[in-house]
Amino acid sequence: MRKTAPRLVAIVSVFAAVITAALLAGCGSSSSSSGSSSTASGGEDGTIDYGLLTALSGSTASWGTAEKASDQIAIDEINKRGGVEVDGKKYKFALKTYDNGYDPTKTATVGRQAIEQDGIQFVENLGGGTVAAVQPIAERAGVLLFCSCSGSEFLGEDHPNTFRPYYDDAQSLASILQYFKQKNPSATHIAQIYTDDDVGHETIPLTEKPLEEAGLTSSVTYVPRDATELYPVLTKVLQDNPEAIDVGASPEGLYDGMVKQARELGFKGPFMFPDAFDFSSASKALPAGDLVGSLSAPCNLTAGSATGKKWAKAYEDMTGEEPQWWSAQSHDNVLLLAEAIEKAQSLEPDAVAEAMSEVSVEGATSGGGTVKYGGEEAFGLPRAFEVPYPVCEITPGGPGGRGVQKQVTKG
Amino acid sequence: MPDVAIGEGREATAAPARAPRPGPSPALRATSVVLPLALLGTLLALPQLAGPFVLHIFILTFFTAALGVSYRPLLVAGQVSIVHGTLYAIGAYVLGILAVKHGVAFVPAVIAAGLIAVVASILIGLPSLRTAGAYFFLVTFAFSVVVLSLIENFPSLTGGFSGISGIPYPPGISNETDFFYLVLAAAAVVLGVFVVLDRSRWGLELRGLGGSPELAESVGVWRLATLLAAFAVGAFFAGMLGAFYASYIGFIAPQSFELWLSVSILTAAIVGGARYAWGPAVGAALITLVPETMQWQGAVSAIFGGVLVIATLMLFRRGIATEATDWIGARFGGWTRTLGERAAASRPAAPAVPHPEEPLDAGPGEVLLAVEGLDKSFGGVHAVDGVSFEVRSREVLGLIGPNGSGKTTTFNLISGFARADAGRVELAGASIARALPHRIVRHGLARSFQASATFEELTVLENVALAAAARGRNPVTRLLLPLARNRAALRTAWEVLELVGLADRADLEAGGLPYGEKKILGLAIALATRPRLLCLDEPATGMSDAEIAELIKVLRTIRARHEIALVIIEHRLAVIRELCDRVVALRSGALLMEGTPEEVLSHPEVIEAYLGGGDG
Amino acid sequence: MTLVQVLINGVVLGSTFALMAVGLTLIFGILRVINFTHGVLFMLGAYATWFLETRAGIPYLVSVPLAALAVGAFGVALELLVLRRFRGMLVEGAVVALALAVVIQNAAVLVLPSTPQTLTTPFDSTISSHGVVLSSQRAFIVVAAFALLTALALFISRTRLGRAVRALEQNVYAARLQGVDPDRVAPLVFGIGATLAGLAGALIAPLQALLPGAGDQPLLASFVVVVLGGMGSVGGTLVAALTIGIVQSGTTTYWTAPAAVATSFVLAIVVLVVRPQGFFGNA
Repeated sequence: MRKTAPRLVAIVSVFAAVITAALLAGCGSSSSSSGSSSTASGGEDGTIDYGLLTALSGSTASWGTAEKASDQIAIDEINKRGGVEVDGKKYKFALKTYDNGYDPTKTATVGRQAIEQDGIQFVENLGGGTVAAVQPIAERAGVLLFCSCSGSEFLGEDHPNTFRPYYDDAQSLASILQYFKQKNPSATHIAQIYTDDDVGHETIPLTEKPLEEAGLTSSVTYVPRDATELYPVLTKVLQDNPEAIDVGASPEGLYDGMVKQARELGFKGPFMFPDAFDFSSASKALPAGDLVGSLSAPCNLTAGSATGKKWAKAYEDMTGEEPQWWSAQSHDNVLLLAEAIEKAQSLEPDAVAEAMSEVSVEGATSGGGTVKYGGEEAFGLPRAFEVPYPVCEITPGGPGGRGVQKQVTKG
Repeated sequence: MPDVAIGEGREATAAPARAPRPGPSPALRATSVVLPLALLGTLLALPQLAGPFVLHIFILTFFTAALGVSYRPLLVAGQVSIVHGTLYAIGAYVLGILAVKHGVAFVPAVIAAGLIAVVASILIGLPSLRTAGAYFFLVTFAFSVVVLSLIENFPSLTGGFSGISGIPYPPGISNETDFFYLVLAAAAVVLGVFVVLDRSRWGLELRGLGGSPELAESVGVWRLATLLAAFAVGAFFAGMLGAFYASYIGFIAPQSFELWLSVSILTAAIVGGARYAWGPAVGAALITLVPETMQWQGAVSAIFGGVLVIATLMLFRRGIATEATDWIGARFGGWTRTLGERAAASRPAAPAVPHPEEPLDAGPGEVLLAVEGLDKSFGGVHAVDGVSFEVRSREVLGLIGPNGSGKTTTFNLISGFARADAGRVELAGASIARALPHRIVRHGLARSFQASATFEELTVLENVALAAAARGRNPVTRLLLPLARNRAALRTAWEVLELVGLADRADLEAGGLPYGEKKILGLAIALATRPRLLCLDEPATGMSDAEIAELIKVLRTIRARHEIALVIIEHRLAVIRELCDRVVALRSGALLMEGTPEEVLSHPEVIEAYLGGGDG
Repeated sequence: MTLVQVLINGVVLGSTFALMAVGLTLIFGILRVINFTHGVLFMLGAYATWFLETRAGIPYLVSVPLAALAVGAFGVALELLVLRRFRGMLVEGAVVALALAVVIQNAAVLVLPSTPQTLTTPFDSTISSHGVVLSSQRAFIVVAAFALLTALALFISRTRLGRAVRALEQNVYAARLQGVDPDRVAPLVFGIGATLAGLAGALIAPLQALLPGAGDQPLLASFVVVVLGGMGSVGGTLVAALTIGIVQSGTTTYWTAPAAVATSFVLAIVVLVVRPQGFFGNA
């Protein structure tokens, strides 16, 4: 650098600064447009942002689509009736979605974007394997976090702002197993085929106790969530002559395949569906009679309530697709949140957190009853959905011999 | 393949030499210093200007940039891996396991992370970098799939799908801003290290391997070791960066390290371009900051990345940063300093009388190269069939024969590029029959090639300096020395360029030279290894008569001044007649006859073989 | 009888791998491009069949060839518009193919339904004897795969075009001297490879619930097959595909499903290290 040209240097420096400023402005634009709008002042009506971090890309994108639709249905419903009223002011809900890609790094990124950048106070996150990435951010910021976290380590005194708006697969399996054992007292052994992902691996340990209580043993097999050719894995499973097959939280595409292919391979016993099971769509996709004898819990809940039917209709109108049953729980959670805000008469997350366990709604998943938060015995704080776990059995008959779903226990 | 006419008198039709770069522009050159400084200044001030989310985005960008920069050397050498993200994952897990489960302190854990990644890279690189082609790529791909599966399915060690959480920050780091500076510093260190390495002999050797692997080997580059080093050094940094990442994010799980991570590192390097060390950093900034700025998510953001790669490769094959830098350099004068400028001091003031660096072991007339019963078959074709001949020091031997008579295969066998099925090759008494090319050149045997005569993307001086340095007598100690400071190599390089008359072209890219000058440069490259025996494969092919006259002059000078023996394969018999002391004629892989040029060229069987062979 | 069932399961898996991998290996042989778009071509074949059957009401057996040809045409377009420029460039070709796959798959995510889609086949019965079971769709897949691969082998060995393909595979320069124009043969080969990938997707579609990621696993499996069979070798690919199918089936049944893919990749690494030209390759 013998001879410098100050003018050019100045121009380049300015140029570099402008580029950086543009990038910063770009990154920061969302904050300036929407940040902390929940604290609208004066007599004006305000907005409550509800942040959804979910998979909008990758192999689990269909979960994200369902969750987004269900949240939107609940928000539309709340807004249609005028929103929530706090201190005489009306607030409407607004859904903001962020793609967490079902990936911890992306979850941390969009978690920060939602919480630190966009100032959102109520955040829902999809993915058991991604909660640990966003939970510290949410708890530190004092924001309410609703997560699909099956492990008990995520809930309780250490994480007072974390809620699980999903029922417990282990409890629903427990109800199914009790009924099954009662009906087949001599049964001793079942097979469990769970997804080879965070959901499957985290749920299996939780099912050990219900199995023991029912006096049953099981052999566990994991399959990739996107597995399609199941003959090899079913050949393995059927070697043990299980008396029933528990498919865990398999997505519908997978459990349809398991049922069909296991029947082809000669399996005669019942299937157990302890997670989202949709009889109407499964029975359409499967050969007649394949499902007969199968058990599910909590059964048929959306179809059992007016809210559930309304939800399903709205879902189909919005997406043009078959409803994904499990996502109705996200819908119910938003309704509960709205109730809790009105109950607390505050938008402060701590106050709302307190109120969450004091409200209940007739949700889409309550089968005509109510949905509320509970689980104090298990976690120390009422932070998980408490729903009844009635068992349904598919009995022979029905149109085309496809079977009829009947509730067999009260739950 | 050269479908060049062999007939005499072909006019040089090559493109005119690229115009010399405009003289260095001080103003522009100043920007090459000021621009990074301005950028650094802005980044240093960032925590004062922006909130934690923006810092987070920049921290992730720094990670991707540093990964891209550390991945690049392999790419420069023409090798693609899909494993850099996996090495990063290995580093992250090593730190996670050591720090959380065993309470190991941060610094040793980070170093362990780097070292274990190195071990992994050597495990996969050692067997797979031996073979050229797609195998290295496929092995790294397969390795990534296997490692990911192991991480998922060994919960006792890795936490399985639940991952490892509660990974602590490094000591002394208490918040986002601290971490921002830490990762910025780490990225700057990585960039600095690779900028320095890039200017070293090793960096040049990698570029040489990327441009023309055979030529690089022929001047003394140990292909396997050089590539493995690039892989291992990259792995070391990837592992350490992974450890920093784990500490930053606090929670690691298999979903963070899908194959797409390696793909995005590759994307950053391709989009930015591999020519300059900072290219991948530019690429990383583009692929992370643009979608964030535009608030694209998920599928749209992925489509952006894909389209960017396709567009880059179709429009700017060498990457955006490379093309932009070179465009500015060509348009406004040298932006970055060339080797010729940096090494101007070592250029001899007046063309010195070159002297051989090593004394000749064999006295005048002694046997330098002895070939006996050389045999090689490819499938059913007996390419070389029991060939024996000798070359004496300072002798010029012609090797003639029709196409397919085994001349080039003979060259390949004696220079180590093919392994003979049987036979003996001795250079000054030492057997070189089973040695690799880079060892053989150290024994003093150099060769040129018909086709890949030069490193097209290197400047003329770099071409020759690479050869001079690679052959250097103390290769390991000088490996990392900036080439501009490698006096001995540069002196040899300048001398050779003066000798062949290319010194004034020192800073031009070899790819832009006219055909005849390229051939001369090929000769200069071989000469720069200071051989005792130089094997030239059709040095005059495609040259004009004037260029041939110049070539003959140069070859005579070489012979006289350096006491180098020559073996020349040539179809232009005028060259053979004029230069050679002795001629060996081959036919169908076997020795036809041997004698003086007059004897051999007038022998009926040779004439018959040539006419029968169909081309002259 | 379990062993027989494992072998049959393996042959079914292997047949689909073969359809995928044979295209992959042909394309590599001619274009020297590692075709990462093969997985999305499979996915497109499956979705095209689904679209024709469920949306356009065309019977499955008619939809399958239509879908395969559409994917073939798409493949030809890819070659002509993009990949042509990267022929013979290992690094750039692989990267650009990977980028194309990313773009196509994510475009599919945006356009296609997010829920799993199903379609029906006329082959919905099962054949069973002595406790060994085969569904007729699976039998159909095996028969169709073998018929097509035989036809392909005949095409390559008996026709003028096939010989041009083989000549190109050996040596571009020499092939050109014999009057073979790579610019004309390459799109054809890419088209054949794409058609076979689309066909594999179309055949398997009724057995699975379709999602835009449907081609990922088949792509991974066929990479292993190509490595094992040797790049550019059709016969080797067939043997390797059946081997990998049986290995995966056996690993799943006698050990555990998550290990099946990893095991086949370990096998691939071993083969690459010990015998880089492929276990069944000859050169």
